[in-house]
Amino acid sequence: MTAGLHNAARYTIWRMASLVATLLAVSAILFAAVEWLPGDPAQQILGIHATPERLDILREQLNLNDSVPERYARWLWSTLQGDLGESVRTNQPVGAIISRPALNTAMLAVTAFAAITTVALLLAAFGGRRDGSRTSTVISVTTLSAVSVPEFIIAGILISVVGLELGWLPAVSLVPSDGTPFSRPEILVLPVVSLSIVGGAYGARLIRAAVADAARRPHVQAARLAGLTESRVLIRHLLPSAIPTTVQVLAFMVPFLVGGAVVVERIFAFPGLGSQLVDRVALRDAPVIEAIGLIQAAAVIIGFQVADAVGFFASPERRTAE
Amino acid sequence: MTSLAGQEVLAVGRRRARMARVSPMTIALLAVLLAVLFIALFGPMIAPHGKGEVTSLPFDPEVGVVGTDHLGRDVLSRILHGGRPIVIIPVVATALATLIGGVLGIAAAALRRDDVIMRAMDVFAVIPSILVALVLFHRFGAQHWVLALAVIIASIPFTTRYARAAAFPIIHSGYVEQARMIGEIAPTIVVRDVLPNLVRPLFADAGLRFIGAIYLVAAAGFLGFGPPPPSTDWGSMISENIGGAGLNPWATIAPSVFVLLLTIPVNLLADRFAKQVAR
Repeated sequence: MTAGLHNAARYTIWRMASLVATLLAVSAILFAAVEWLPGDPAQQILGIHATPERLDILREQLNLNDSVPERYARWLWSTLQGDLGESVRTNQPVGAIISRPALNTAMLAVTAFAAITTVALLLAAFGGRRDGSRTSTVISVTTLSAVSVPEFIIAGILISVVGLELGWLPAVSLVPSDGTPFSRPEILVLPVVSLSIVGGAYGARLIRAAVADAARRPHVQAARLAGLTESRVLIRHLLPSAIPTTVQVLAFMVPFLVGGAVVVERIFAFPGLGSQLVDRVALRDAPVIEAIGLIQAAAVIIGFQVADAVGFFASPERRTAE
Repeated sequence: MTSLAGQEVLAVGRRRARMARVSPMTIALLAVLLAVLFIALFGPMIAPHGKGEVTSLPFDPEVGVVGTDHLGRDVLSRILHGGRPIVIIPVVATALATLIGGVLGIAAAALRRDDVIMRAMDVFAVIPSILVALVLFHRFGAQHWVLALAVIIASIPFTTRYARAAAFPIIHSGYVEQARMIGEIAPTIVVRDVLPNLVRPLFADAGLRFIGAIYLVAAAGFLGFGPPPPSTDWGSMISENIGGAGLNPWATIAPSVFVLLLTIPVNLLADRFAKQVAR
């Protein structure tokens, strides 16, 4: 018991340390990647007709003459203190530029995540408990076809049919200037459906496989033979065995929703973080790019760490093995 | 004992018989896929019009088979011209990513100190793949090899993580331990005991990665990094013409159908093959 507790504490500390280390490594790669973007920031700000003297003055102001490691260290230090800097294009504070898009994306992502989790678990539970049954086969073929449809195609069909042809829901997801996506929830429906069909089907397939594996294990068959009801077998034996897979699969949804939703954002003209990132990379607005990249990376890291931790504590064999 | 051995022989025989019998569904899927591949590869030679040739007014549904696009060009001809990149790039990139990811995943599962590989993968997995792609596009332009590279960088962390998770229980299972104990060397164990059990999950994963690769190639078109005009691909065609879906919906629907005729058979076939290997 104490050994178990000791293990758990050591595990948690180790995980926190690796979280910080990963984030540091990501920040360095991000900074280097943005440095690697073509173009001279000073030239881009002043335009092609700038005099060499003015360019020199601006380079000095932006500390562009310092080495990359020096500038990385300075950026990292101010970022750690919560200062994300200013846009090199508009001089607005980065926080002010990205807070609205971040909120919009968070609302879209949370809604889609809830939808995906529900769809995936329901389909997996019904499809996996009796491998080879008619329901199971139908769910398997449907989900496999659904994961094969890229979400921009689903989005395109939804826009043309539900948005333009039937006119039931807005084809364009403009967020009101004085509100959030939740104050006009109808704009979220089509983007969420586009994301959830692919994400839900993907999750359902992987979780279904885990449930089906569990259904074949002797103790589940024994439980069935002992006369436990199907729902009890499902809740007591099948779903718990699928927990590590489920959290792992749901962790994969975080990058899909936080960064990968950019095409869906673009199609619906939804003002999210992904769209903002595309625009700022085109402008070579380094501080904004780096801030968005860090936020997206942090969300994904936390998702994976939570999944690993749940998987670790849910499976006794591995806890004692490590 | 003899009866058990007899059953074993029987089971092997049955397995062979099942392997040899190919279902009509599999043949149909293969036929669709081969037809789409043929159209993608040889389409430019049979297209009635040039890829940049204006044949009528924009979004005219009456001209040709499926009408014209946003610049009045024949949609069918552009579909025939636009298949190569969206087929070849994802195929090459997915194959390379699965190969590299599979090797890294097995290594990570086999090594006692697998932290180095997995932590490196974690770092790459959390860097937004769209950002990586955008930086590469701005740096080198949206050339074919750049798209492939972006796909590979985006896929490897996930393939590795997946391969490691699939390989871990196999490598640490009883029969691998046993093989190790009777003195078999690592390469033999990997080839004889680990790989056969990994083919199925890796194929299922490759099917999904292929969809992801097509997604990224198409996304490049949506984000303004499609092939240089008048060249095109099916993904870019969807983004070019979605604005005119009210006038000529076929300009959007036709390229969407071709993308689906590619992705759905690939995934269904990968799944079928994976199940067959596993039996």
